[in-house]
Amino acid sequence: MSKIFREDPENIKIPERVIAARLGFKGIGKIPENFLESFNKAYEVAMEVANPTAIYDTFEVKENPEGLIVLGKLLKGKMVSQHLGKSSSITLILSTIGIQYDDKIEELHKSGEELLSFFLDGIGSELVEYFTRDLDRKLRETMGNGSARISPGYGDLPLELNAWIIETLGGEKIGVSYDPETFIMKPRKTITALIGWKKSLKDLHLR
Amino acid sequence: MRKREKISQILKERVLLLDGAYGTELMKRAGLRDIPPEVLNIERPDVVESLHRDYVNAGSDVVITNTFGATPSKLAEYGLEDSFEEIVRNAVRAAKRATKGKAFVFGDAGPTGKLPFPVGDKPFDFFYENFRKLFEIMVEEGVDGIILETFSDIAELKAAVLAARDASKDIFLVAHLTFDENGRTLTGTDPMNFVLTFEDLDVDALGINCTLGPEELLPIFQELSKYTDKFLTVEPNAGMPIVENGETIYPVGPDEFSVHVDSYWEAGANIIGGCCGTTPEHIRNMRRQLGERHPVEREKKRIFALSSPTTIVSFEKFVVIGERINPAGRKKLRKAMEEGDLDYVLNDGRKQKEAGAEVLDVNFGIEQLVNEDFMEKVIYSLAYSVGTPISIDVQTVKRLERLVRSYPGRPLINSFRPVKEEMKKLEVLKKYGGSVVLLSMEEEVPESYEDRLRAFEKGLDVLTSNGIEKHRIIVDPIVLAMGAGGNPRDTLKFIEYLSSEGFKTTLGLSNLSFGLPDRSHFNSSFLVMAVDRGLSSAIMNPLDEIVMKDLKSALVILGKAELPKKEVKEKDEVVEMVLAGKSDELLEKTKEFLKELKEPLLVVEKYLRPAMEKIGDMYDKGEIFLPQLILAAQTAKSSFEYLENLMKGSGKSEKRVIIATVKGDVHDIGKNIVAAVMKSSGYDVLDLGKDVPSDAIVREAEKNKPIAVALSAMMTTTAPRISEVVKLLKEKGIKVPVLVGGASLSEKLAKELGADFYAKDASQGVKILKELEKGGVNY
Repeated sequence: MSKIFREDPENIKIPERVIAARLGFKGIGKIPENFLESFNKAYEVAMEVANPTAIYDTFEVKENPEGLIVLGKLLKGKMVSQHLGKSSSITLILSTIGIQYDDKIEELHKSGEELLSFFLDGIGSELVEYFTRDLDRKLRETMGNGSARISPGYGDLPLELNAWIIETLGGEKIGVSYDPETFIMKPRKTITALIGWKKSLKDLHLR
Repeated sequence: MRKREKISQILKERVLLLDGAYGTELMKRAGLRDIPPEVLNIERPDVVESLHRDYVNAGSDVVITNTFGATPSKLAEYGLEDSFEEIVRNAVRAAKRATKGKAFVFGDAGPTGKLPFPVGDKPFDFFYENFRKLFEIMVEEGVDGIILETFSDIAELKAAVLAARDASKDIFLVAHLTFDENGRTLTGTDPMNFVLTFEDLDVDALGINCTLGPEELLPIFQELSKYTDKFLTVEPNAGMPIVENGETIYPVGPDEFSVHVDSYWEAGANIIGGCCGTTPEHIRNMRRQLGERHPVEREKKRIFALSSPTTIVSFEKFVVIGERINPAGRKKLRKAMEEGDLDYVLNDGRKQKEAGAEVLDVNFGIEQLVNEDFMEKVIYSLAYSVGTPISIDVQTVKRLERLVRSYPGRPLINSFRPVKEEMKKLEVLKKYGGSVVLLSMEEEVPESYEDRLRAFEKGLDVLTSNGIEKHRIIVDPIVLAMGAGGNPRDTLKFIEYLSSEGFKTTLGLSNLSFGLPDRSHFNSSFLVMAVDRGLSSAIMNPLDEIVMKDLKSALVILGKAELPKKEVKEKDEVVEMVLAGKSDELLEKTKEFLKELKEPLLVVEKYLRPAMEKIGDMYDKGEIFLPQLILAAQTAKSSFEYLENLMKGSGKSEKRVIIATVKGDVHDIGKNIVAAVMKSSGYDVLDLGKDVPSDAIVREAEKNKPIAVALSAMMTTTAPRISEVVKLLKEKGIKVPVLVGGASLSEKLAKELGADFYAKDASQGVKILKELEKGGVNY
């Protein structure tokens, strides 16, 4: 049974340096003084319109000579074998900050507020990433020894897995859909991810 | 299996967790003040052992010994020199007792606290000897690896690396520098230079620790990870320390610290730990976050470059190597070298640098007449004080070895020939790194193109079969004195060949004109021809103005250097207004300009477009950030619209551009930025929005007759829509250039998809439009 995770956007902590780099202020580690007012305005809007919601579920893995089988779906390739191989179960995650966020970016763009629109877009990208990190951390507290969190589009993990994850978790419950040809998701600030779980930490076999 | 092989094998499979702080944690646990934590190894080994155990229980795969300040010279500052051996042995034993084989034990070493000459007063061997003594004991006690932490100078780190490797070939060796927030070490080295210097050495992992917290350190670590395929290690502090009531506090707690594990993993870390202020609790949280992860695969950028501690000289553009530090025919210099007059030699170096030399060749003439210590001082002083990388033109192998071994950066070894008596130089290159000038000659001087080719191929084979990769080899095609019958046309032909094969090249330019009148003109003419054929650098006299001026002009003509621009010192009022976001003031100013010029188009051409062009250039050069470019576009918009409306009224046509994000793609922030910047450069932009079907784009192109169609595609799955648009335009017979951009695209992919132009960003997009207007590009 899929579970829902929500968080107040105010509680999602994004390091300032990360946001500054995302917004194009590379190498200085912070938002410059003369852009602080615009940034704060965009951040305030972000807090108003973002609705961080995730849906996730964990499934048993069956090993197969070609890869891993989860709910009858064969997952294969280098990313799967490197990062998820030997997992006994896998958690699928779908997280988003909602369609209202996209609408606001568009609205600002159309009204000629390009800078605010750009700032809101950048903040949104980090907001959904750090929201997913919060869920990731919460999962690790109970699930134990996890792999890295990987997403379709990384390495050889195909984008079409977006469709499978959304269908499997019931993305419509949190307002997420996808384009069947391109597998691009709506809302735009949405992440799909997989984490593999192993029963216990592998011994280093030191001696 | 050897220890380093075993650890390397594990690291290919999973990311390992190091431990946390010792200094801050031991001080807390033992209530220490004003004495070094290493004392605990003999007085309270139980406290040290218990901290190790806590780290192992928290999940550390590797623990490090409590020996950060245990070099003999450092201990001597506390009067502990007699306890040196006991301190070190006890430290390793405590770590091994605590781990019981459940974690690796790495012997730890920090810097001595002294700096090399001329920044400090110590020679290279002072550092080497200190570390050698320390590491020999650690290896005897059975450490699995050695980790060199918190070094702030590359020469000292290099001494420690060599000492560790001399102590054992079997241990896993990790070398760290510590960087300030400006991305440089105390003595001015940046991450790329760190890699250049240590990539060639027998080190297993490179990394960064201390000084900065996890957030501040990340971009520096990301920079490091671009250039190396060695394993990467990182240990941030628990934030930047704050002093409260006389106590040093590290503000980043275990939860916050572990959030950054994902970022470091993404950046390619193979071993992650914590430095000052981190505790077993930090490590426990990191363990949970790290789990059992496979490392990410990294792609390494290869760099052909030389370095000094502060400067990297890339051979991607032409490099002048100053030849003047050579006593042949220079009596005063010879005397200075024989008498140890360092200032005289340094002054020679400075003059050449001011005249345009980026690397200095150093030749001591009859080497037996020059003191070896003086040679090292010359190289160090030039590298640290003048700041140029050095081409070490020393032929006695023993002396060459000493200078390359201690060199603080990546030197150029000038030179190597594939003949028996030169083979010893290979060992120097293999052991101590550096790039090398491969002469295209064997015993005899080459008389033809074929002689050169044969010698080059033989030399290349010898070097590469000894592990010296192509990016460390610079080939000298040999130019001989024309007066003695040399044929420079063979050299030119050979340069052309080497260049077509992707080799970097250099030559001793002055040889050509030896014994001829008008030497500068001969040298200059030949150099220009050689540069045209692809010569990458020359060892030459930068004080010869004729040659230098002709070289600069030739590089501009050949498109290998930018046209020199006159420095415009006066302030540009419009640029300042636009950058400050003062759109109302700009509109008022625009109206004033209109009164003066009468024609709206003239105002655009004379004031607004040049201002936006200048801002575009500033962005390209990294002088302003992307948000400033966007703000500038937003600011200029109302003035452009005002003038545009007047022009529409007068019936004058606009420069229309159609822009759209292709069908299936909803990522439009990039497209929006490009549209805004194009508008602010005076283009009439018809923005069709996102997720636009190909036929709709083509229909609009047919109707509006734009000067270009600009398409954005963010994802790999949507990029093929570009070729669909291109095909439809062709079918309809609409001849319009297609300009594309987006995260999934590259120049190559854009061409494959049939686009005419690829723009990496908005500024480049505008530049392409301008070229199209001028008719300066074909499509």
